Amino acid sequence: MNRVIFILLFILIPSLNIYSRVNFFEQPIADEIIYDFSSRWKILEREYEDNSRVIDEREYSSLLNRLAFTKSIVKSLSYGAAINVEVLGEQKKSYLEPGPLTSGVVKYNGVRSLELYSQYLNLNRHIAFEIHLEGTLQDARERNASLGGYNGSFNFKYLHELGALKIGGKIFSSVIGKKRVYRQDGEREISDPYNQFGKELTVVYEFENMTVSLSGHFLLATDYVIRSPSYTRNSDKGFGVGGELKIIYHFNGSDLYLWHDRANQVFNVITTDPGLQHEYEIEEQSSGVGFRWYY
Amino acid sequence: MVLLRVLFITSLLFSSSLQAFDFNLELDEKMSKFDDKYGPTPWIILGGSAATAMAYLMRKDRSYRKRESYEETQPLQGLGFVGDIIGYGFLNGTYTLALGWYGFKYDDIEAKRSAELMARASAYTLATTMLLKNLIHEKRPGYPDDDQSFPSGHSAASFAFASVVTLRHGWGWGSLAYTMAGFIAVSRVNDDYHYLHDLLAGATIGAAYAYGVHQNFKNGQSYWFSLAPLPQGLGAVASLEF
Repeated sequence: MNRVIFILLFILIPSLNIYSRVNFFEQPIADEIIYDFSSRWKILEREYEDNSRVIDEREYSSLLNRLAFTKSIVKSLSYGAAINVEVLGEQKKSYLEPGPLTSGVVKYNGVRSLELYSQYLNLNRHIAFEIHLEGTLQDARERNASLGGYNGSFNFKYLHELGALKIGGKIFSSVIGKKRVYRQDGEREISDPYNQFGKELTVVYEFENMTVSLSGHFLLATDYVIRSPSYTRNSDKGFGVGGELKIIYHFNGSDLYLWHDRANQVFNVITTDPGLQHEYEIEEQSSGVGFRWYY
Repeated sequence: MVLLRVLFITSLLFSSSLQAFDFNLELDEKMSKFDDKYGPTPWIILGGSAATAMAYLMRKDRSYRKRESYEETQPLQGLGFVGDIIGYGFLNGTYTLALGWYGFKYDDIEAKRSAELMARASAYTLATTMLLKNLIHEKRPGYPDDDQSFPSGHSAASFAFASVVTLRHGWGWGSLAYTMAGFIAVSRVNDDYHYLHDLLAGATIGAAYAYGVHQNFKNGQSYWFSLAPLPQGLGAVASLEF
């Protein structure tokens, strides 16, 4: 189905009246409003490994839909809100070690989270500061898609223009808040809050009617801990890398974009036996399509 | 995460009231004037301090009894020693001496000014970093017998260097310098000499002094910092022209 949508979009776009437009900071100009709808196929894997041997693994896959609006308060200040809804969600659990936990598959759907954000943009210096909050008031269960907690981040964005080539980026600091998930086996799994700090570098090339952007990021993270009555996974530091390829078509004051991204995080697990080489790995990838409308 | 929950709910309520705001040009002008007067320094201090506080609050106490991390989980693996060596202020010293020598030999005022800015930014950064290290006494994550963890001197010196290079030579050279500063900072976490909040505090101190010295110089409010002989030893003297 996804493949069919992609092919249809490639056929449809060249027939539209298109013109060039790049909005790197995604900030509304004057008092306009930006509406943004995107849909992505997202796969996330959480693996607990001993020297590259997987001890337990959870794989989540879903179609994540995001609807957002962004509005200006003044020329340099904007705010926005978004809602994330997951459908066709499926979680595959596999545990190598025998214990009270059983391997299996769980289907899930529902509202994942709400987002609120605000951005200050200095057009003369081509820099912006953004505060971003994401959360849900709904308890997280394996059958609903709820985030089960709160995340907060602030970002510093910058852009340098070298003709059609633009080099931009983002320095970000995020708090991934405490999450509680009520599992089907009756246990409550808690992941403690931790911090991520990193940098994203983006290279943007603007053609006559489309823009291609390639970005990569690197981050450092603090302690990531998961605990439930059956197990505790302690880690004391981590790092992550990732990349994204995005193609944006501009037409009639709107943008249509396609993207693919991949990210990986590795955490240094604390164990009582120093001879063990345990690590926690989170791998994520998504492919999506979105539409942005400037009103 | 009560704080995040309160912030989230408050923002949710506040965001609906923003609909009532008119498009306000006056606020835009005020923000622009603030930026022209103070430059990016207040934002660096604000952002850097917030990032440091976030990383510090997320740290668990058990990290203090950590052993060295596994190679698989080290982003630079065995290359951390490179950052360790070049991060001892060699970049700052070499730049100051090279530009100073060039400026005096060829009577190039811009080269002399670059050397002066680097020397000032590096000296203030070093003084602040050493003062904080000796006031706070935080143990290093992989080496708890050493209590000079906060803030990271390597990060402070390298970010002061990168910021001066950016301000004096543009974003081309600046990008290379910031890449090197980032490598040095990451190498300190890689090799378990520092926590994340140590290097964030260090980078903030270094960048803030570099941008602050440059902004004061631009506004004609130059200040200086020097060591002065005292009967019992040495003292520090600072002066700011208003």
